[in-house]
Amino acid sequence: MSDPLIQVDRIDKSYTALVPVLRQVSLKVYPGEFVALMGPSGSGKSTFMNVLGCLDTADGGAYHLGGEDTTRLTKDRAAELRNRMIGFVFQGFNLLQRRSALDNVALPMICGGLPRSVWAPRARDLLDQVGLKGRYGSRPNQLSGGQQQRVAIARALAMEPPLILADEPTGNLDSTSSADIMRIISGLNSIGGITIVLVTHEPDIAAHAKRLVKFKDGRIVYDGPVQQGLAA
Amino acid sequence: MSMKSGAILTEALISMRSTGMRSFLTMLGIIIGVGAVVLMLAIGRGVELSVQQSISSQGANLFIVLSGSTTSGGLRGGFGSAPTLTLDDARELAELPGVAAVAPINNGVAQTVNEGQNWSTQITGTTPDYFRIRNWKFASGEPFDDVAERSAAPVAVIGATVATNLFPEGEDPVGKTIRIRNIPFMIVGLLANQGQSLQGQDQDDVIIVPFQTAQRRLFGSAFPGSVRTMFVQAATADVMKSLEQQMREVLRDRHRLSEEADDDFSIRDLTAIAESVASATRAISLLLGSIAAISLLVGGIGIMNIMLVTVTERTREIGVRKAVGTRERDIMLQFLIEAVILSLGGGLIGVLIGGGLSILVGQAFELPTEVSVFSVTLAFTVAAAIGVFFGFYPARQAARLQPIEALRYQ
Repeated sequence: MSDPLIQVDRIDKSYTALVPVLRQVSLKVYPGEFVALMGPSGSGKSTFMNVLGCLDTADGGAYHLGGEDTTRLTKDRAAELRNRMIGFVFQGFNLLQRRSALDNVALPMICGGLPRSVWAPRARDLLDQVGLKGRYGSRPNQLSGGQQQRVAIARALAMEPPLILADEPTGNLDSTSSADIMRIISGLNSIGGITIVLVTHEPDIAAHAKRLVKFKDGRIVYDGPVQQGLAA
Repeated sequence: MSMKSGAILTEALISMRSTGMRSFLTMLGIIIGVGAVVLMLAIGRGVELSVQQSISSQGANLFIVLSGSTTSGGLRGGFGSAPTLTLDDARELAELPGVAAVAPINNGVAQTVNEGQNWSTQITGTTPDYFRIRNWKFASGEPFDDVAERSAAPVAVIGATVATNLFPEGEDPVGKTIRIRNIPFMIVGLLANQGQSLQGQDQDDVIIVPFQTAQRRLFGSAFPGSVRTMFVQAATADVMKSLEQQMREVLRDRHRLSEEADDDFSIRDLTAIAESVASATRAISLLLGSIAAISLLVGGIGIMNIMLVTVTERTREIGVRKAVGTRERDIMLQFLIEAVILSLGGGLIGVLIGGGLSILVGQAFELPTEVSVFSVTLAFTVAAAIGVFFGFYPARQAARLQPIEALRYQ
């Protein structure tokens, strides 16, 4: 078996001294896996996602992303890791409101220092792939929720990251759009071979994944195949 | 790998365009500030120039030498009442190295008549050098010459005020004859308008006749060849101090004054008076400039204020940018560039408006206003510095936002 893409060893995290949010959490995710994280609110799953995304650091323990120790990263290196290794898909889409779909998809490539001659065709290409051909110039407020989330997925794919972190990607969508989005995300994993970690509280969304990790009170209480986990 | 600087500039411009009206209003503070600085400096410069003009109309590098005073029966006369200076003194002083010209003067007030009009005015008897020393221009005719001076010819040069009081409007008095103390004088020259002196005297209310003519024909003198005052012009400003000392020695020597005796004449340096007026006008320019600078400062605070609002407003956007891997330095640069564009753009418009206004003010108040390269450079530099200075804190706030906090911000 290859080296894990994500290797978390006994990390702790607390925002106040009294209430620990993560207690001694360990997890390994191998390239090509599709993992769903579930758990009640306050169980620590969102904080865990922030640590995985190098948006936050753990108090103790170790987190290796692609073999690199992230515990003592400089802010610049953390930014570079997010740019190269991770694509984010958020519940609230988090698109730049006054910018076109194309600009939004281009953002990680512009941040990564790619010239326009590279990012412009690639951004169009990505929008075509998520089914938004011809909507390059549309602004977020001219797009439906489902379409906005597709733009966000195209943005997440811009730097061809090995890992996509999706935090409740269907939380703001109706069931039809949710199905569309989950089909795209599943395809990224099954066809594109991209590793996906997805946070959700809906069992039918989690069912798209292959592996389920359940959080409760800052600990992992289940880690196994998704069918048994959902049945339990 | 980080963002290209061109890309950062583009991002800054796009986000400014999306808040067009607000960006303009923010700029307005700088526009007013820079405009005020440019305008005030131009006005200050104009005042300085006009003072310089009146100084040079008085004559540059000038000394006035006054003869001493008399005491008769307990009454002490003023300077010039004792005939201690002579034409020979004047000739001797003219020989000193560093002296450009000397003009001896005797003057008095006399009634002048032309046909039905009459006017009382100052009559100055002097040599032709006087016109050169005082840098006086002629509206018509020319100065009398040395021949007229030596022969005590009845010729006169008149000022504009005298001309308006003795002659009908529009008539050229040159070649006409007027009577001064009932003696006919031919007018050979009309002086161009000089305006007021620094002391507020009308410099145009004057008639100038040859020195010999004044002494022999008009005023007479118990001491022929005596001089009440002399104008002495130094060749350059540098020699003024040493020349004053040399003149004093020459005159004391000629007047055979003993070591203990006081001077029987006095020497006044007119340049010193002019200098003090010039330094007063410089103080005025400085004051105007500082008031304008305060408005520039207020404009800068306006930029800082609006940039802080912008950062708060765009917290979520900053979070997104950070999540997709923008480095802190690049976010900081973007906001800093926005602030500098606001201030430099305001600076540019301010220079144009300030420059335009100073031309209008110059025309309205007949002031030789001047927008100097210095004031434009100063205004621009200060505007850019304000952008960086007042933009720095908000930009750093933006760069230091925690990405998770920023993403959670509603």
